[in-house]
Amino acid sequence: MFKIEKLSKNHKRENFDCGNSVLNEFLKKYALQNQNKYYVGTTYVIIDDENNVVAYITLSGISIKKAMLKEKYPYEELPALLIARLAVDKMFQKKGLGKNLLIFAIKKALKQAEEVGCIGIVVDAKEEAINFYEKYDFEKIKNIYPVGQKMFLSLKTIKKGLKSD
Amino acid sequence: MKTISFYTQLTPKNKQNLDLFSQTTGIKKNFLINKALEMFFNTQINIPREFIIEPSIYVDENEFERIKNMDKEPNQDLKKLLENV
Repeated sequence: MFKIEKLSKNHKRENFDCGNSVLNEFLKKYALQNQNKYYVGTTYVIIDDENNVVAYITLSGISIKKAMLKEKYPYEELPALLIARLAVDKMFQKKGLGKNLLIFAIKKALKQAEEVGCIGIVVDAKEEAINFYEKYDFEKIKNIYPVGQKMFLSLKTIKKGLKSD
Repeated sequence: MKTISFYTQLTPKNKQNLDLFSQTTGIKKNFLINKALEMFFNTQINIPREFIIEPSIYVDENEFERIKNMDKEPNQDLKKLLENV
């Protein structure tokens, strides 16, 4: 039986292996300090009965900024929810855990929209995950900076999907 | 913030990127260099680059408007996913 919890010291992370060393190391070394020391991202984990992490998602707020030339006030900003990391252990892939974490993120985005403002979900998509996000209607963003493929799902689209139920 | 000036040399690519970023965002170059160095030293101590969570992304005006006005109908897979929300 799996359940989702906010990452804590009690969760066993040492054996987590999603096949991507950066995502593995992020969970083992940096996720907790990002969350509890720097407050720059919160990680939620799916755990098994023995408290082993089998999947995780790291969420953060993000601003989508307009870059303009020679304006007195160069920015306009849009608030969004960022899926900064999402990974599933190799032993548990293709079992719908990534989909469950995406549902979890959508719920958080709806809550954020209600409470502090959110126009949608941005994801920092790794090359191998682009198809997964495209399947659920995320679109590629042409970001000037930083480098790396960002994708976006609008809250308006999510709301339309919820209304059509 | 108290500042001092000193002479240094950049590679043409770094100079080009610095000019482009400064022009695109309107942020002054000395502020950018100062921030970049600050970030570099902080991340060396604390978090390697690939583990940083970016607090913002920059897009051009057209892309900004496209994102702001994105209002399409969800596809079938998303609709099915949203049944669980």
